[in-house]
Formats: sequence, C-alpha cells, structure tokens
Amino acid sequence: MYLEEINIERNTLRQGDIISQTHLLGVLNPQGFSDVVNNGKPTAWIIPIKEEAIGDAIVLSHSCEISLANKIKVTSIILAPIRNIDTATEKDKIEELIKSNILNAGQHSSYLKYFYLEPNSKLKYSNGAICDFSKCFSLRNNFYQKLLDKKILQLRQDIADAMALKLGVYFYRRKLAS
Amino acid sequence: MTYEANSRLHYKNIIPIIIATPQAQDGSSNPTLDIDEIVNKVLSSEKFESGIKNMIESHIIGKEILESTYRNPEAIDNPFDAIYLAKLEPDIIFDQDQLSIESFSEIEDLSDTIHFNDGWDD
Repeated sequence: MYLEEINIERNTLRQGDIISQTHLLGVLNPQGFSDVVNNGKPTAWIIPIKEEAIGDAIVLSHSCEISLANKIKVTSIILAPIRNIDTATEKDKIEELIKSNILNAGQHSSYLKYFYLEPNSKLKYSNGAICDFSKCFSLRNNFYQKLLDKKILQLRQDIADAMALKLGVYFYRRKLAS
Repeated sequence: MTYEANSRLHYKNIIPIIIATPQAQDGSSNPTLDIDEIVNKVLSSEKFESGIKNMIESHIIGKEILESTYRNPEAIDNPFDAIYLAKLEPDIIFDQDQLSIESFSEIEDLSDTIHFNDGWDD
C-alpha cells in the first residue's frame, strides 16, 4: 500500500501522503471556543486543550495542485484526519469496510466516507486505520513546509488513485442512504 | 485573460492601427498627413488603448513572477489576489475520469452503519 522508504518523495507533497501529528481542524468541537478581545475587536481564538485534536492526517489534494513544480496552483492543502480502526463499534463490518477500498464496476454499495490504511511501523495503529473524508479541512500554502517535514508515508500511485476515486464518488453520489 | 495569453504579449507588443487618410478632391489619398493629426488618431484608437493596457498588465505580472520565483518564493500566499487570479487556467477534464465517477452515481453509501468511539462523532 505504501511506497518503500527509499522511494518516498521528500521534496514535495502528493495525494495520499500521510502527515504525522498535525492539528486536525476537521475534528475540533466548537464548544469551549472563545475570543480574546482587545478594544472590542477579537484578536485571537482560544481553543481549550481538551478540545484540541492533534493527530495523523492524509493529503487529499490532487498531486498536481500541490506540486511545487506547479507553484502557481498551490493555494491550500486539503487533508483528512486518520482514525484508529480499533475504535470501530461494529467489529463485524470492518472486513467489509477494508474490502470497500477498491470500487468495482457494477458495485451497488460501499463505505464511501472511509478509506482503509494498512498497519505500518511508522503508524501507531496496530490493526490499521481509516481516513475520514467527511472531516476534511484545508491549510493555506504557507503550511507547506511544515507538512512536508511531517510527511512519514506515501501511498503507492495505484492506491492513491483508488482513494481519489472513492473520494470523488463520495462527493458525487446521488443515492441517499436508506 | 490567461497567464499564457499574458506571457505571449511580451513577444507580441506590436499594436497594428490603420489610419484612414483624408482623400483629395480627385479621390486619391493625401500623402501629407499632419503629424498632430496622426498622433491624435493613434491616441484615440480603442485598439491602441487596449494594447497599451494589456502590455502594462503583462509587465506587472511578469515583474511579479520574477519576484515570486527568484527573489521571494513565499510571495504568493493570497489566493484571492488579483494578480494570482489573472494566472488561473481551467483544469483539464478527461472523459474517462468523468465516466468512472458517473458510473458510480447510484451507489449506496453504507458509512452510517459503522461508528468510531474516539470522541469525534459526538
């Protein structure tokens, strides 16, 4: 699923890169947020530590959009948080969720919101994890170097393509959940 | 105007303007056109004004590209900056990609049948 260490591109971000220990804006809870006000104007936000989420994330932006070779296009980097699959409450569905990574022609149903990530020595999830498309968020391009510094894994191109297709279908599907 | 179109103007900063010369009584053109009259005709030409405007814009963008590329790589950080927007080009959409996505348009999403007890779904 992942590129070998020697093949990881260290000088650029790619769709499917796994970023360790970053701020997961997509999972913040607004309860407890408050403003620091100076002369009637908010000057800062306070986010209580218990609400702050720091963890691993995966890059969802198209590789072309975030390639430094195409610098003009780099405005923001879209990320999705990674969740430990061991916290799933319906254990009997995990196997089906894992298989749903690859969308096959004629398929009638899938776990479109999630993409399964296999265990790896650089990840803390012994049984694997899922990235959650529904909690995606973006960071401005001036975070680029910080994210690059925290890049620990890179998906193989065929796996990144499978993830991108699932992401596209997740947003495009017409059928409502029954 | 696209970024490429702006770039091309660097090499095509020639503004062709046709000035109608007054005719003599016998119907022939008058070769002795007054210089002030020529200047006035050029300055009042819409094509001249548009050409000058495009050249100025392309030089501003060219200068900005030089600065951002060679002097300050972090210069572009505002995606809504007018200069940035002038560089936008449409993305290419491949028919095969579109067909792949559309072929799954009727798929049912089962995501709501599984939950994660990590405090993110409250």
